[in-house]
Amino acid sequence: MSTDTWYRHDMKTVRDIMITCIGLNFGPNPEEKLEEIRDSRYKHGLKIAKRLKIDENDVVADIGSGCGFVTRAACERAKEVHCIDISQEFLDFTKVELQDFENTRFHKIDYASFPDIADGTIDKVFSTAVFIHFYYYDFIYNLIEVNRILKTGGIFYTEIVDSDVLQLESMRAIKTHVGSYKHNRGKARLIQPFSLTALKNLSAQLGFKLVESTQSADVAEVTLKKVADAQIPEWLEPHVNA
Amino acid sequence: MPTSPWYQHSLDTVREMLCTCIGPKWGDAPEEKILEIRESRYTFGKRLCRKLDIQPTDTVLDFGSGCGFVSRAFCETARQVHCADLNPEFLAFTRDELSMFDNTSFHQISYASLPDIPDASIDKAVSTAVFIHFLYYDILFNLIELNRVLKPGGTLYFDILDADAIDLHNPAAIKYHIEIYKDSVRGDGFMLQPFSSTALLKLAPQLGYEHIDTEHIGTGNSVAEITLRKLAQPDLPDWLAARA
Repeated sequence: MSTDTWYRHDMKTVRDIMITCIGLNFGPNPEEKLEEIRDSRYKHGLKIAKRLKIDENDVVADIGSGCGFVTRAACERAKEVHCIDISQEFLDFTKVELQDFENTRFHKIDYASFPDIADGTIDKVFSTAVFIHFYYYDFIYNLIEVNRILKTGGIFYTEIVDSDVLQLESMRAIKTHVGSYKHNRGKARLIQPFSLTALKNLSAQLGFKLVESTQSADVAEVTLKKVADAQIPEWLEPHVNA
Repeated sequence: MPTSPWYQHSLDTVREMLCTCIGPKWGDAPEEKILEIRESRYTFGKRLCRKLDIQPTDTVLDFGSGCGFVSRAFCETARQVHCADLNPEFLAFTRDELSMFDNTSFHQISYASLPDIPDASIDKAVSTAVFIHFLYYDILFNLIELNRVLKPGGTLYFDILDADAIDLHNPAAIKYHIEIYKDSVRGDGFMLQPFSSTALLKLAPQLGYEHIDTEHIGTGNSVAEITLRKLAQPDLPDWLAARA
């Protein structure tokens, strides 16, 4: 077993945190554009809150909450918000970012495991710019865990770079990643296109129903509803719980 | 940059080679079943000869020829066969395996690069149990290179583990791999990587291919055998042409 698994990062500075969290859309010095980035991501959060109809009765989880910029919109509306991230540096940043909200909790997690969150307790889960980095196996493990924490009827929103529709002429999403791929295949920061058709097939086997998918350039925004507990095959169970 | 890219492996023994080449389905000591394995893969190669209508006039490329067991069927039928592999141990094994054929040449290649194979020189390109390990970018780079070496009208066959069709309750294909996934092997070239046939059929036409056939086989019909025809050279965007 590797002592430093692929999903762990060392982020020493705010610049590193920003680049890891939001990519290079804002240039090589994103810390100089913090207000602009915060506003842009907050607006995305507002859009998600509207799409998911987040209100004061909802318990919400943000998986891979990053810098907390998107999360803010949920904090303003929900009864309770759980910020969940693998990175302690992100969580430390987010705790400061969202310190005004008493309804917000912070959870450092391991890979595809949210042990602080009880079964069937969450109304709405969203995850932005996280599943775009996932391989097939990551989808399996994470969908199972999301299903576990959601109430039946609860909603899960995520984004993928949809390989079913990618056009080489307009591959903005992967253009910068193709160049570094050959020698960095397993790096968690690389965008990994994933098929919406495959996601439909997989999520249906893990207790979800596709409610809505919308395309924006190469990105598919996907909303799933938990319709039942995931019926995990016996062979998979020990690996989910490992 | 790592000193050893993900697609380079050292295979010191025949056992390691066979385990890598054919996976775990023949047990922990596949070298003890080498005759059985050889026969099974050869039979599969014969099937591909029929499926692709390989003719005595054809120049065939076996892309990722592994141990050469499948290639043998092509060597018996085609005018010329090129065995191409990343791994020198595989190629050394295959040279012995196919030593009786004087129509066969062997090429150690780099990632998605076939420098010894001229443009538009191949009638049929075959790749078995190779694309099942590929992620989106791998498929992109390799389809571009295979297009280059194929003649217009040439045929490309490969298999993928179809993410659109995987049934978790019938998981033979991915069961072993998901067990070892979590902790370190995400980018390892040995891992099976399910890939969507829908996505593939979106990508291939953009790279100069026409879809001929998809056939689902294997446990749970989760393996998709894809046959494409090269229509033209792809008109690649500048940013991609520079990297390919």
